[in-house]
Parts: sequence; structure tokens; C-alpha cells
Amino acid sequence: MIIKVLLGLVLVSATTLTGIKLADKKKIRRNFYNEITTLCCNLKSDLRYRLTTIDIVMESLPNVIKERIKVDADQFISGKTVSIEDKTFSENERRDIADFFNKLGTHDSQGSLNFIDFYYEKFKKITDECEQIYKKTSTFYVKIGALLGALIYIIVI
Amino acid sequence: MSVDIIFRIAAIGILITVICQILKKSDRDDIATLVGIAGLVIVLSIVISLIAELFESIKDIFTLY
Repeated sequence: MIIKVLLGLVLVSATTLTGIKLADKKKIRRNFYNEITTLCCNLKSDLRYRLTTIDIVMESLPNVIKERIKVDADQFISGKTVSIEDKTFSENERRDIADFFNKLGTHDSQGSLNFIDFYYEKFKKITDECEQIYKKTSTFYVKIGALLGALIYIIVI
Repeated sequence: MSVDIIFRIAAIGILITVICQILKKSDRDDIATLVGIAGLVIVLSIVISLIAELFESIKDIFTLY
């Protein structure tokens, strides 16, 4: 009897954890786009008022972006192109993100502002979508995981 | 036949209903239908042998051969 209960607990925990992992994927997307939108805002104000150089900007990137683009400030300055192989993003999104970082700092001040504005609008739209998807699915996967675990337990044991 | 099977079917029914409700709330009506059908198949596979037994008993009682 105790073994059955333990098996049930293990099964339900395993399926719930799978649900949490799936929900986390959506969280990564949401956090990434949130950070990249904030970065665009910071870059715009930097260009207008503080004139921070691109190496400082790259240095102070949040971890959630750094982990994805896998290029540090030195490599970026020396012209290494950014490419993203993370399967969390679609092919179009990966291309857009890579384009954004690769073309960042290649224009004059006004050109950069227009360029960042363009990408800001693009990223903002995706951020809103991600936020909605995250709200919808964050608890959904966990609930379904736990319930499926219980269902399997009842059927099998 | 033990009473356990009735409780098992009831539990499956409750879980399938809850899963369907969650799926419907998340705009996944198509998957909810599939889960409902899967639940029906699972319960049928559990009771199919009992139904066969029931038919055999009826045939025996009424001497239908």
C-alpha cells in the first residue's frame, strides 16, 4: 500500500515537473523580449542624453540576453556576428534578433534612433504576445501535468 | 467483480472532466474532444471484459445458444 502511494506521488511529481519545465520555456521567451524591449528604451535615452558607447551597452546586457546571443562585448566590438540557435525562438525571430544586434551601432545618431525605434515596435508587439501566452499557459501546463499524472496512476496502478 | 472498478471508473471520469474543462478554458476545444474520446476508450477497455461476462451470463440464464 505504501509503495503504491509512493509510486503515485513520484508519478504525479514527475508529470507536474514536466509541466513546470514546459511553462518555463514560455517564461524564457517572455523575459527575453521584456529585456530586449527595455534595452531598446535604454539605448534610445542613451543616444539622446548620455551617449554611452556600444561596448558599455554590450557589457551591461542582462544575463537573459547574454545567454542567448553568446557574444561578449570584446567579440562584438571586433565584429563577430551574432547568431542565435536557441529553439525557443522561431526562425524569423532568431533572424530579427541577430539582425538587431549585428546592425546595432553601425548608423549615425539619428539613423540609430530610427533603427532602434523600428525594432522597438517589432519587439514590443512580440513582448505583448508573449505576455498573453505566458499568462494563459503558465498554470495550464502545471495543472494538466498533475492531472495526467493522477490519471496514469489510476489507470496503471 | 470487485467494487474497486466502480471507484476507478468514477475517478477517471472526474479527472477527464477536469482536464476537459481546463483545456476548453484555454481555447483548446479540439484537444478537449480528443481527451474525452481517449477517456471513453480507456473506460471501455476496462469494462469490455465485464460486458462480455455479462452477455455470457445472460445467455446462460436464458439458455440462448
